[in-house]
Amino acid sequence: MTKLNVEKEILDIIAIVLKRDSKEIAVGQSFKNDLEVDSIDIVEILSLIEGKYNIALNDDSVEDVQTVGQVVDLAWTAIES
Amino acid sequence: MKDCERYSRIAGMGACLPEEIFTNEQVAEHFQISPESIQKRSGIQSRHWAPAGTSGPDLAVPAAIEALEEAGWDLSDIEYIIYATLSSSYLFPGDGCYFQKQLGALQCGVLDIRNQCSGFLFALEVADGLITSGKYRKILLVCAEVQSHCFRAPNGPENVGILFGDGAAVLALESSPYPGILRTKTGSDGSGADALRLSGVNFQNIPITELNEGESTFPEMDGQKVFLRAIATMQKSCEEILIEENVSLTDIDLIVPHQANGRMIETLTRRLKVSEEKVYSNIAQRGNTTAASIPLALYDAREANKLAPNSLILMTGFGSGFTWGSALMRYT
Repeated sequence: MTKLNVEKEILDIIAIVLKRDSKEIAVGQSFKNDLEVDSIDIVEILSLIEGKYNIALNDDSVEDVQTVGQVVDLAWTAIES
Repeated sequence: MKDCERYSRIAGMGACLPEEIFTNEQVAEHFQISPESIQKRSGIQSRHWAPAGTSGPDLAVPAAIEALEEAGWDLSDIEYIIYATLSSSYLFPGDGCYFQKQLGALQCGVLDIRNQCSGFLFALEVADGLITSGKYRKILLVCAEVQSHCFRAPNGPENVGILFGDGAAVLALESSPYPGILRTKTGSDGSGADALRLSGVNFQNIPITELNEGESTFPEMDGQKVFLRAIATMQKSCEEILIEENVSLTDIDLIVPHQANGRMIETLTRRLKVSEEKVYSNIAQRGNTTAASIPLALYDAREANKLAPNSLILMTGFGSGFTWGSALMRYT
């Protein structure tokens, strides 16, 4: 498993939750400003990511997450640890 | 298990909901959101909303009478009342005194607890302490909310209003040589106080001629922070109380979490690694009834035959403040 693979899979998860094409999702996008994601969507996205990789994302860091790239980084850190 | 020979136990339960049920289809236009979206985001299908002029005590009194009848208590048997609510009718006095007056139990003390969604767990901790200390033998624990009037702001932050319902639940708690409440554990983190609050109605701004900057007369919520902290904290709180009581999740017959949001309950269930059947939820029909949510879920679980005698129950909740708690109970 590479970080690039994880990134692609996380983009797919976000696309499914938001009912969008994954090509419309990019790591630099802000959940709130670019994707208009609300807090429940975030909970669902993070929950699906935790379930897929059987990981627990860092609770303190995840509260302040704002971009897709930050979620990818958090997930990759959890997968590697 | 407690280092004492005295426990508190539930001798009676009662509940009362406003008659009128509002489905997602009925409230969707008001909040400018689709019915499907409400259900997807919250798991809520409908909620009970009280008509204008209804107070928390108006719902709590019938619930109390039901609990008293089951317990076999007269009004004069009540030695103390603890009243938990977010939605007190007035800044002061708290609704506890109005409840006492309406119930007609003027012989005892009343304590108001204002710990929002965690109010029940804090109230239970206080009630259990007062009973196990020997101070009182019979305490009425009242949780009631009529919050929909205040929360129905369309297009409010995170559309908070769609999540909340009105309702009351009452426990008659009495001293017993047998468990009972086994353990309670509460916590708070005031650094999260601004994340979910009603800021505009306060003693710094009375009379309210105009709102100060950043204040609102409707609830404000940093949803991402609140939801994520709630899940993580309830998980940790459950794990801590289980360790302290030396029991495991496999020993637990039913988990009754605060009914804040169906998605949160699902995530908590997955994180605790328990089956969905082990976690009771009535949020689809009740919405978030704040302080009343856990005792109302207990009542509904019993009605649904999911609260078997001698079963081991784990309750957990999280709310504004931040405040949280968990409780372990042997239901007898």
